[in-house]
Amino acid sequence: MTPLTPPPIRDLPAGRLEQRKLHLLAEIARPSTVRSFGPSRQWRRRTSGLVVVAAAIALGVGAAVLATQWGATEASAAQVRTSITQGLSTPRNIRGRFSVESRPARPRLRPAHGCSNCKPPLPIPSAFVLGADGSYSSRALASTPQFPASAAYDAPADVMTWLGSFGGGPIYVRTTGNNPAFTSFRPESALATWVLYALDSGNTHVTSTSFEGRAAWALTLDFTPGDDYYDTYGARVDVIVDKETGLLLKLTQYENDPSYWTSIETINDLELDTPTSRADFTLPIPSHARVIEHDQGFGPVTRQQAAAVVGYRPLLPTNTGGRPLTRLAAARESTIAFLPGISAPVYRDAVAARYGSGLDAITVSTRRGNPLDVAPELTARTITIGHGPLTGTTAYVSNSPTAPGYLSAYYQGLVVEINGPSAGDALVTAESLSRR
Amino acid sequence: MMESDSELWTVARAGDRAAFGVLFERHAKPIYNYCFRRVGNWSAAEDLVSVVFLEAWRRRDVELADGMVLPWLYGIATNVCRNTSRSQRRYRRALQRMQPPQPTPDFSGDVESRLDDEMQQQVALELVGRLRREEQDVLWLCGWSGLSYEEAALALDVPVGTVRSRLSRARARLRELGAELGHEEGRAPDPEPSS
Repeated sequence: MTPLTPPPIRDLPAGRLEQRKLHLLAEIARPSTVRSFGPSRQWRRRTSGLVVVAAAIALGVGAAVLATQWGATEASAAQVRTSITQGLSTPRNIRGRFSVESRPARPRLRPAHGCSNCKPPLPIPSAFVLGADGSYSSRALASTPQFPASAAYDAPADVMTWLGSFGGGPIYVRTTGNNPAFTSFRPESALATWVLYALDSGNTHVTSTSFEGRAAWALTLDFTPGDDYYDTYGARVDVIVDKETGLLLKLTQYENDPSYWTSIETINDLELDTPTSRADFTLPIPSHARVIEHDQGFGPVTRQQAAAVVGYRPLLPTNTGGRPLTRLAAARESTIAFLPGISAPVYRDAVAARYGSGLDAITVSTRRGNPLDVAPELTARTITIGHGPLTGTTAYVSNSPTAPGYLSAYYQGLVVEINGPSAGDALVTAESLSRR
Repeated sequence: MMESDSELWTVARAGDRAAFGVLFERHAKPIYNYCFRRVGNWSAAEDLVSVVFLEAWRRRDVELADGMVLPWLYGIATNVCRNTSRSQRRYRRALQRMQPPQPTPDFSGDVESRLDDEMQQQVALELVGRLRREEQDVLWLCGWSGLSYEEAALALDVPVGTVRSRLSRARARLRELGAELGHEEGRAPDPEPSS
């Protein structure tokens, strides 16, 4: 027999076929899906690049303390998921105050891998405003030497402002021409995405409750060492979700001891549908602050104009799940680095489109690059695009709790990146891409 | 009367797990052997069979014409085997949720020959692994799993002509590699597909 002669066809070992069948049928009877975790390349990029603004903003939201009355009504994780997704995709004005209380873990921090717990950066006491038009702001309530401090985004004007400390003094940054793929980030969505990911664990207990007089879901998520979710979420996470808005009103983490909380993030004084003004979404320039103006290079374009700007017909999706195009922009050259001494990649001939809004939004961006620009994360899933012009192209889908719908691929000299609410949305979008 | 694959698939698509179980019984063996040829390990192949059928269930919105269920499963198996190293963690979790195999009747008489299979297959994998990925796929499907050009085209979601040309290139390259390494070509990698 030569090395290239195939071994004989064999049956599964005796009894295994029936066992495997029984286990398969038991598994497919389960309602939930299987997912896993890993640090997100995209999240790392966001935190290191765009960055500061996103990080600062992540302050904005979390949760609010108050006595909760646990009810007896059981609900499913799917109901909560729907409540969060629909609530955070509904445009409306929302104001509130955000605070965090924390204490050291005992006996010690659980071992974490990758990006610690892959959660958006810890917020500080702040007041936040979310605008129905996609604007948002998060302002520190007390001066703090801690970085970052306050951030705001005026969506109609496409102006981001950020205030913090850098090099020992206050710094004020104003960015224009922002990349639509980055400005889709909103703090409440980031935290919600982080929680949504845990809902797939199958370890979720849900009841109805009230919180500051508002109807809410109360979730308890329990994890054990050795479980992938434990690495990211710790032994236990309690979440209170506002049924009407989908906001996380209270988020309690327990590190390695499920009876000893280590962090409580809360939203208080929630106000819905109160009027806002542009001043709500633009930070004033403080005296003595170093001011930096930065143009990211993106400008609004039509599809035809985009081709003229970047020198190729942009890849845009034909299937966005009914989401309308909300922004299309292009840049010959763009970088998100605006702080002295901090570098970031330069994007060339980039086109970015956003469809829909809020937690349900999808962004599609392309830029010239090379295959190494889409090198997979260690734990990303590798898939092959099965339909459309990209058929046969290898793509990587993030397994991160903060960016579960992030897909990247390299196609004909272009780096393609898609962000959606889920991996499924990203894949459907990728398979409908065409030169347009 | 025994139902056809496509009839079972239609029922399974509506959520009938029993029908899906029949499909599993019917096609687990060829998928098992195909996965072994791709990974060179019988135990891993057994796990991959489960993963392939889990994936098939997840994608049960797909409509399949008569005779296309098995080629489609081969297509899933191709992707699963290709991705297995990157996705081990995810698959491991999926498999951990399923009960581990219970003690089964002793098949020690079979063990030695299975180990021989694995050693032999590792050599073949090393050699075939030098081909382009697309060429490996058609070689495993048409050469060693007996799929027709049309079935392989469906499994890989490429035109039939592409299957033919890739197989032709794979054969030629394999002959070169075999000569370089001093291997005989053997009879099996490139028999004519059935159509």
